[in-house]
Amino acid sequence: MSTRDGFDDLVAARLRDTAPQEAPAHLMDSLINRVSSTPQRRRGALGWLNSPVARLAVAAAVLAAAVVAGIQFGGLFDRPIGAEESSPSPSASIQPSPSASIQPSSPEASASAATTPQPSAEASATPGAGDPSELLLRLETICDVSPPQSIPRISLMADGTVVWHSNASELPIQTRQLTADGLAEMTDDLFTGGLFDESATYEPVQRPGTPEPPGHGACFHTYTADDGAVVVGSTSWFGEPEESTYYEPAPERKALDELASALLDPESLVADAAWAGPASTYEGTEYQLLLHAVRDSDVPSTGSPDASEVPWPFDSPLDEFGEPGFDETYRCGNISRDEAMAIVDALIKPDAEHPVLTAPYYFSLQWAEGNGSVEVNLVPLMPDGYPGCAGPL
Amino acid sequence: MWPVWEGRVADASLIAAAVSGDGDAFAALASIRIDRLYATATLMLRDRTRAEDAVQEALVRAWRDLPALREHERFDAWLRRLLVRACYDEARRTRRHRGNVTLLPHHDRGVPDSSGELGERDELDAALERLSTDHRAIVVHHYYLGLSLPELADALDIPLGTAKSRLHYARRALRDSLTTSRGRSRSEGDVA
Repeated sequence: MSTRDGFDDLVAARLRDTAPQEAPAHLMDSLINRVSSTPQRRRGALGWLNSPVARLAVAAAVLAAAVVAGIQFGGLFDRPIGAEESSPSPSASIQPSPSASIQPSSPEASASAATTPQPSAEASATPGAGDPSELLLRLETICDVSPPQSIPRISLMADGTVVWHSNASELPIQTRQLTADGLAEMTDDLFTGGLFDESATYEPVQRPGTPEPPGHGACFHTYTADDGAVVVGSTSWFGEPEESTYYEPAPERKALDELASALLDPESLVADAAWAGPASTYEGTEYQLLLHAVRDSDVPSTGSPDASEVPWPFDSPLDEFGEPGFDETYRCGNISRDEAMAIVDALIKPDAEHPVLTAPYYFSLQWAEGNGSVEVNLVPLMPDGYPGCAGPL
Repeated sequence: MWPVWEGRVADASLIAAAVSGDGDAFAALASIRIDRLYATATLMLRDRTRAEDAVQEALVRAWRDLPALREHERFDAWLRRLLVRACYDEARRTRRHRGNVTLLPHHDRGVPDSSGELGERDELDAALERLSTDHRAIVVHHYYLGLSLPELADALDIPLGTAKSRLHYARRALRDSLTTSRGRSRSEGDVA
């Protein structure tokens, strides 16, 4: 490069002249709002929304996230979400349930739901006798445009096992066993409204004559029922109360949103007598290991340790481990709990509290060999093996 | 609420607090830097709306990933990288959705003039606009932020040699544009 001269001064002066002096005030306000609703990624902690793991696991949610990116970055799409084909799926024949789907138990209604998973016929105070790996209902919630949550908010299994993870807290994943009676009570509450009789998608539909909504984030609730046969999705405005100003009110979305809130605290949905024992921390026997290994990248350095310091439980190169992800930089496979613990042992500082792997675990490494970064994501598998590496992989 | 302090000691306290999850501390850190980040993004992207998105995305990523930042004294360098990355993301979106781009207000770019100083500025603006994102990034970081070559390499996460050659070619492209403009002005003056 030549030495600085009048030309350089001219360029520097022009950039100074054209640069805005101040950021608009609303930018800081908007940032504060987003920060308040964005959990930090902590090694070994639960505040790990936004993991790419669920991008692998929830294809529908990924698609929805892309749609919402269009909302957030206003103008990305030619047409606002909610117009025309974003109406509820015509195949859906859901009964509107304005009062939300948590309703008083109704044996008659329960019996009438053809696709409703049936609890043990012999209701009793003993734990349910169904298949512990059979899924009755799963809820995943993803808010804002960031990558989705890594694990389900709740999984209800046919044997009455409930595994849940509070979205907002730093608590570990919890599990508790319903009695057969308790399982019957909960399934009645969940399925009586008919929201999960058929697969359906409910997205915001813009009110006719209203201006284009301002950019905003969104929350996606994805319910999976009947061991995966039924998937019901709902999208709502994230963090703003004036959704009804721009979008048509929809009883199904309202019911699904309210149910999602209620499921944050499943213990409150049924009486104490519905539980066979106290809640405990959920520990997976297997873990999904998702590696995002980027070569020659512009990923910012965080001063993290090198990937070669980790005792990987496989011999293959990092970018050949397991199965490919949704692009060539993601690799996914299941490992045992012991193997997961060995990885974590190598990553934590000697004086740090050892994570017990009862929550999603994230760590970022430098990858000297590949001149880039490696994101390590460990997620305990749910009783039905979810999230697996199948689907969009 | 954290006061908006300046200086490294206050910054260190704020960063430590933000790392531990204090949103107010992070807001204080951001408020000190947001004007400069916004200016940098606007110059890189030549679009204020996109710049807002990039700044917000960079700062949200910073908040989210701050616990992974081991060297707190590198916070500003790290944040610069996050902004560059967010600007690249925005630039890619801009290329895909050209029709939605809102260019800088006309008054910011100088009154069009085919001769003299204003014409030169106009040509310089046009030349900056024509630069690739890579070249504009290095021009903005060098000429506006005043970063040295090693700092440029760090901010853009590229090897030092790449930073040197990238700055060389970007500078030459800008200089060639101005030379052409000056030549055109002279010939128009000759005709007149």
